[in-house]
Amino acid sequence: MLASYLPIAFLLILAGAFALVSVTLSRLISPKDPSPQKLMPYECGIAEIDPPVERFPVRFYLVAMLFVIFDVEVILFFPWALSFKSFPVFSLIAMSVFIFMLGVAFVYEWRNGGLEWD
Amino acid sequence: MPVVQHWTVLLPELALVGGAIFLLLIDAAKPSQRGPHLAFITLVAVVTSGVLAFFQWSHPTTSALGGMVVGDKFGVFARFIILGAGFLATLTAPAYLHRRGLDRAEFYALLLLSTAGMTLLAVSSDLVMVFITIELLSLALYVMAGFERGRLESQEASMKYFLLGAFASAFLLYGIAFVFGGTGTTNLLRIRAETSLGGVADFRLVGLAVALLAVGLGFKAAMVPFHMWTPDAYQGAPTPVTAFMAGGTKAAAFAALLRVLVLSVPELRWDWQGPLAALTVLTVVFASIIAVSQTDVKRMLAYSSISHAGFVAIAVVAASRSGIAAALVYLLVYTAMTIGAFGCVMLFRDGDGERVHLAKYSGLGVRRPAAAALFAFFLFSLAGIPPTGGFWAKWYVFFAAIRSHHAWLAIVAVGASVIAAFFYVRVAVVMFMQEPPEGDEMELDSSVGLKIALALCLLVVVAVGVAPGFFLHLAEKALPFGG
Repeated sequence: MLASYLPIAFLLILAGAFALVSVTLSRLISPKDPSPQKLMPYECGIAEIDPPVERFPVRFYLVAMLFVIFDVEVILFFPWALSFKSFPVFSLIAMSVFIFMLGVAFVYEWRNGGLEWD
Repeated sequence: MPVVQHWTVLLPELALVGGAIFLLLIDAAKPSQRGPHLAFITLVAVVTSGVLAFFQWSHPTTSALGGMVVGDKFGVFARFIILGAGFLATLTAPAYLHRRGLDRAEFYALLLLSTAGMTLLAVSSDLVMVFITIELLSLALYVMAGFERGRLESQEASMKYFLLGAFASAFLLYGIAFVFGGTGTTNLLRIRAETSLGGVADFRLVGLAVALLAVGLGFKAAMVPFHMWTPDAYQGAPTPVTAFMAGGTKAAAFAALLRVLVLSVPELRWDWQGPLAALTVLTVVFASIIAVSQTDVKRMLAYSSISHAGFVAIAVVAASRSGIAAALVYLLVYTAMTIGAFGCVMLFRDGDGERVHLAKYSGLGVRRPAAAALFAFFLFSLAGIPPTGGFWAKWYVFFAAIRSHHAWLAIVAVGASVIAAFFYVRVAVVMFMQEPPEGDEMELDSSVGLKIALALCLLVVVAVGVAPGFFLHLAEKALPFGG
């Protein structure tokens, strides 16, 4: 059974070997002629103005969480709609419960100011 | 084997989740409200859940959600322990949270959701359900551990618990994948059928899977060497959360461990009993020795809870009917005495902080004799000194180990409990035999909830101490999957 995984293992070894060989070779045979300009960090061809932003406002996470809530809902809706006719009553109840739970989370976030940016 | 399907098995959990939803909705109606009514709603939900679970005791074994969940007496017994932990934690929480300005509806909603995760874990009969419920109980606990987010220790507790918990979940999931690979199913009863005579299981894969599952569940139960998060998480988390984690999570994790190891792969017991016995010895000995050097009482109780996980694991190693009963009785007593001990830590305060350093307990027996005596009683019970419930819990576990030819394990554990007795009794010695320092301001938490919680813990520990046979008899009836 494990023999069917052999190509994957082979590919893994191949990929690792390729990375190792190309990095080592480029280090060995590439011409080295450093200058201060060449050693500077490269960002769109211009000299760096500010260090990159390290912290994001926590609001972004709230929006991201809202997105995930509705993302999951939509993902679940597709297979539900496809198999709805097979067991209509049960699936309607199950989906209603799901939407209710989701609604509770949404109302909670909305009322606690999760949708306001300031 | 349960064949009857009925959704009413889930009623206790629906009551808990319903309570959590209600709390979130009333918080949405009037954001950031505080007050004792939130704790009251939580208590009502937990009691309702307990009553609904109680009615299942006399029912024949049923299952729900297509065999994902089983309603048996074992589940009812385990649920009672978990709901008890939730009830006691809710009683102790309001005063503690109020002093720190944290008595918000979210806390109680999370507590209810976490309790629902624990009780569902105790009745899971499918590994997928085991995984989901462990996530449910853990995610709520990660947030609760960091609820005091203004305090660095609380953040640290939450972060460490989260990172290591996520790591352990990966082990669990990997184990479930291997079980499916080896047996073609994730249902515990079908795994049992496939690993028995005439089954088609690939034993190499299932053996590996059992090891991975034991790592995942051992993490939640805080067994050495998967205990590294425990001292920091228990010390940093708000004390009601610590009490809840120490009691409820352990009961739920061991209920799952018993179902997975003893019930679904009994045919592999020659393979898992040895390694688990080794972990058990490591847990009781290591935790007892480390606890001796602790000067923070919360941290000391954390190591104590690790060593108690080892004692319960002895009953799992026994892998017999008497082992299962002994584990249930042990978890019952352990939950009561550990929440009682953490409750006493909440009791002693000065200013707005808890007196967690051991030196601050000196002379408490003179200043507050009743409270100090209560704390000493819980500590003696944790140490397993005779008239208390803790003694009988250990007795049954050792008895089960000896009957299943693991006498050496009982002997090692008795040795470890002698070491453990030292650090429990040391607190009592500090309280009763040292002079109180001069000019030391100390006060007692006088909240009614905490007092009721301590009284209930005392009641359980004394009741098991007086009538251990009654509880053992109940636990012997509570066999998983109806025997």
